[in-house]
Amino acid sequence: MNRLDGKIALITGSGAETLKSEVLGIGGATVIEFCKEGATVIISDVFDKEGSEFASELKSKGYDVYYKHIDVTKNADWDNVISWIEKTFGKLDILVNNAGISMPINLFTTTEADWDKTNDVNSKGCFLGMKAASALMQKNNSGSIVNISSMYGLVGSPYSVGYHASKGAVRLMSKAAAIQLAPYKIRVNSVCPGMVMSPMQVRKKANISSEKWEEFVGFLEDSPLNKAKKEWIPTSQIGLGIVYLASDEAQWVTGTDLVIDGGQTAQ
Amino acid sequence: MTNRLDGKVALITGSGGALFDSEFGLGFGGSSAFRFCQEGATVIVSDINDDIGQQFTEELKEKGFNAHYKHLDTTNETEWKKLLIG
Repeated sequence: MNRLDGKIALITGSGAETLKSEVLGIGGATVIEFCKEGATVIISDVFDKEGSEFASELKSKGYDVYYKHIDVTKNADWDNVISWIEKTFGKLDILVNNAGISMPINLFTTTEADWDKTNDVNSKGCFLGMKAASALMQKNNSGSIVNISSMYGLVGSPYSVGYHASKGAVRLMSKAAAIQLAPYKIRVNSVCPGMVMSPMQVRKKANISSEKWEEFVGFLEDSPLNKAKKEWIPTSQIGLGIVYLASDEAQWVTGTDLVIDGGQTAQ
Repeated sequence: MTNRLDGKVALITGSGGALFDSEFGLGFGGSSAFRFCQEGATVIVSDINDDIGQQFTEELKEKGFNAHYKHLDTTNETEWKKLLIG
C-alpha cells in the first residue's frame, strides 16, 4: 500500500500506548495505518517512555518512525519539533492534531481547573499545532492538517461541557484555518469520531463505578451501527478516515468534517 | 491497481453516459466505475443511455476489468426489481 508514500507526518497524542497495550488510541492506530501506507511518521506525546517504546516496536517491523516529546499546550515544544522536522526532512506534509483529554464530569461537577485543562489540551493545542506546522508547510506550498474533533463537537451529551466546548472549537477553527491556508494549498479538515473503544474508555471504566459504566455502555444503543454490530468503533477505523483526508486522494477536500460515528448524529 | 474493493459487487447508476474519450471526459458515475474497477470491484454500469453505456463497459472490459452493463431507469421500480432480483 502506498497512499502516503514519501509523506512526512506528525501525529500528536500518539505515543501513550505500545503494541503490548490492551488497545491503541486513535493516535497510535493512526500511526500504524500511516506506516502501512508508506509515510514517515513522527510519533509525539507527553508519555516519553511509552512513546519511545512504541516507536522502537514499529522500527523493528521495518517502518520509518521517530518519537518526539510534544506537550501540545506549550509553544516551545511545537517550535522544537517543527525545527527538528525542517532540519531533518526539509518539509512537513501532514499534521494530525490528535492529542486530547476527557473527564467523566458534567456542568455541575466541572471545576475551573477542569475546564482550563480540557480546553488547553484539546483546543489551544490544536491552534498552536496548526500555527506552528502551517509555517513550515507554507514553504512547500502544500500540506494537510487533520484535527480530531468528536461527535460531541456536533451534539451535546450528559457529560463534560468543557469537552463539548473544546471539540466544537476544533471543528470551527478547522474551517477558519481551511479558508486562511487555502492560498498556500494547505488543506484543513476535522474528523468526528463516535463511540470508539479507545484507551480513554478503558481508563474511564477503571475510574468510575460499575453502575456508571453500565449507564455509559448503554449509550451504544443510541448509535444505529454500534447497536446493530453490538460493538464499539475500533480506533483503526478512525485512522483509515484520517489516512483519506491526509492523502492526495482528498486534494479537493478542505474545511469539512468527516463524521465516523456509526450514524449516531444522523438522528 | 490496488485491492481496496476486492470481491465487492457494485452497482453504479448513471455511470454509462460517456466514454473515455468523450469531449468532457467521464462523469461522476463513469469515473467512479473506472476507479472501482481499479480497486478490484466487479462493477455493474447502469444508465438509460444503452449504446454509450455498453460501449463504455466494453472499454472497461478491454482494460481487463470485470464490468457489466444493465439498463436502469432509476425512476422505474419494475426495472430495479428486474435488475436486482431477475
